[in-house]
Amino acid sequence: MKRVLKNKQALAGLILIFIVSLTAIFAQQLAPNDPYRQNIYNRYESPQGLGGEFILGTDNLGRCVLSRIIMGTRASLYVGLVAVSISFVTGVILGLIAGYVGGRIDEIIMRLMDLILAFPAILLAIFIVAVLGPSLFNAMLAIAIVRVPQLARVTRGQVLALKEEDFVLAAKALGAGHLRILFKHILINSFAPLLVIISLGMGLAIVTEAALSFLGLGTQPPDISWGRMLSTARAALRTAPHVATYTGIAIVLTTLGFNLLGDGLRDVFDPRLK
Amino acid sequence: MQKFIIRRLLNLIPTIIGVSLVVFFMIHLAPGDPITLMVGDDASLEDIQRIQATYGFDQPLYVQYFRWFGNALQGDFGLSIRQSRTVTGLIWERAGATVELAFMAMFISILISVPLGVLTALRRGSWIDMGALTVALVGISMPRFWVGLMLLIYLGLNFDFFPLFGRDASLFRGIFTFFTTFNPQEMIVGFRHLILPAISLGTAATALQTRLMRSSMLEVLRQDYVRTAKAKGLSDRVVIFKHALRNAMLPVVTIVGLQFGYLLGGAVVVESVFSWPGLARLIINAVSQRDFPIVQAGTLVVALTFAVINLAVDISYGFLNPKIRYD
Repeated sequence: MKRVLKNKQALAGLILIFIVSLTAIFAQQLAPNDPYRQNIYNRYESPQGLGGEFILGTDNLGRCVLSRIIMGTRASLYVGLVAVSISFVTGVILGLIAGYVGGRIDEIIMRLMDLILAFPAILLAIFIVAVLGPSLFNAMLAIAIVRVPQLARVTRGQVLALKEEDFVLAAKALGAGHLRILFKHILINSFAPLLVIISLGMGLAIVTEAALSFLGLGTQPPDISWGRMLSTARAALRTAPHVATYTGIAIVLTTLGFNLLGDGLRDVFDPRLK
Repeated sequence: MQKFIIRRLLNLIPTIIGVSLVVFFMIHLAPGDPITLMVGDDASLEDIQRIQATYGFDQPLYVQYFRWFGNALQGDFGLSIRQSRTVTGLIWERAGATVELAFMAMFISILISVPLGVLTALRRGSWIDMGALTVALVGISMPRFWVGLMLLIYLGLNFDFFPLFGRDASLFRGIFTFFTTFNPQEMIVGFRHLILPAISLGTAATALQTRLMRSSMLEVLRQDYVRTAKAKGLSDRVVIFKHALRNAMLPVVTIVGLQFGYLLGGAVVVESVFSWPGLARLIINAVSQRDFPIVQAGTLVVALTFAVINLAVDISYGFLNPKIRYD
C-alpha cells in the first residue's frame, strides 16, 4: 500500500476516485438544485458561474445541469461496480477451473472465451442488450460479459504459473483440499495483476455504459445517467453546448481516475514495464 | 510458415461457426415477434402465415439456422424485414463507408502516434514526454462519441469547412477520380465529411499507440545492438531510424491490427453521432427496429472481418520478425 501511495499516478487516481465517490455518496446534499425539477421557462440557460442559481446552466427541460451531473455519478459508479463484480467473479472462477483442472474442461472454457473475443466488445454489448431488451440491468450484464474473457485468461495464466510452485506443492503434500489451494494459495498470489484489470475495467465499464445509454440502450428515464444526458444534449449542440461539454468532462475525470490508478498499480507491481 | 498459415486459416472455421451459432440463436431467443411487428396486431392469420412462409419462420429453428448459414456462406443473407431489399445489398452499400472511416482513423493515429512515441522516448522525462503521456492518458479516458460531440460543437459549428453530418462523397473514390481526371472536387468533399468522424474514432487509438511506441522504443534503445551502433560512431539519426525504429515498430504492428478491429466496433457510436451512413449505424437502426436479418448478418460480417484482421496480424508478424518460429 505504501508503494502504491508513493506512485504519483496511482495517488492521483486514488484522489480522483475518492472525490467522485464522495460526490456519489453525498449527491443529495451536494446538488444545489433538485435534479428532477423541470422549468420550461428556463430551458437551455447558459452557465451562470459560481453564485448563480444554475452554476452550469440548465438542460432541455430547464433542469439544473450541475445537479444532474452530481446525481449521475451514482449511476456511473453503480454500473461500474456491478459490472466489474459480475465479470470478476465469473472470470476468476472460470479461469481457476480452466487452469487448475486442465484437459478437456480447460479447452471448452477457453474456446468459449475465444468466442466472446471474436466480437468487437462494444458491438457484442449492443447485440446482447438488443436481444435482452434495453434496461440498466441488461446493460450491466452485457458490459460484464464482454469483460469476462480477459479476467479468465489472466487468472488461468496465473494458476498455470503458480500450480507447480513449491509452496503450492507443499500445501498439497500437507493434505490441503483443492478449494483451499485455489483460494488461499493461488488466488491470493494472483491478486496484483487482477487488481490492475479491475481498475482499468471500471474505467472501461463507465465509458461503455455511457455509450450504451447514449444509444438509448442503457439507463432508461427517469433515471439520470451521463450517457443519457449526452444523448439529449446532442439535440441542442448549438443552443446549449455547455450540457454536452460538462457532462463529458465528468465522464473523462471519473474514467481518468480509474485509468491512472490502474496504470500506477501496474508500474508498482511490475516496474519493468515503466 | 506455410503450415502455420494453413493452420490459422483452418482455425477460422470453428470461429465462423461459433459466431454464427451465437448470433443466430441469441436473436431467436429475443422477446418480440418480428412478424407481429411487421404486420401489426390486427393482421389476419392467413397474412401471418403467408409472411412466415416467405421468411421461412414456419420451419423448426435448426432448419432455419442451416438454411440461413448455408445461404450466408454463399453471400445471401435473405431479405430485410423493414426495408424490402436484400440484406447483402444493404450491407455491401454501407460497408465501404465504415471501412473508409476506420482506415482514415487508423491513418491519422499512425501519423501522430509513431513520431510522437519516438520523440517522447528520446526525450524521456522532459516536459514534452510528460505532457504527451498526460494527454495520452486523458485521450484513453475520453469516450469516442463525446470527442465527436466536442468536435461538432467547437469545430463543426464554427467553421463551414466541416459539414455537421453525412457523407456526400467517398474519399477513396475521390482520390481515384483525382488521379484519373485531375478533378479534386470529390476528394475534397469526401475529406471534409470524413475528417471529424475519423478524428473522434481515432483518438483513443492514437493515445494507446503513442504509449506503446514510446515504451517499445525505450526497450529497443536499451539493447546492445543500439549501443554497438552508437559505439561504431554512427550518427544518432542512423541509429534511431535504421536500427531502433525498425525493431520498435514490431509490437506496434500487432496493436495496429488489433486496434483496427476495435475501430470497427467503436465506429458504432461514432457513426451514430455524425449520422455516418456506415455498417455500424445500419446495425444500430436494425436493432431498434427489430430487423433481425440485418442484425444477424451485420454482426456476423463485423465479427468475421475482426477475425480475418487478427489472422493477418499474426501472419504479418511472422514476416516482420523472422526469429519467430511456427512449429
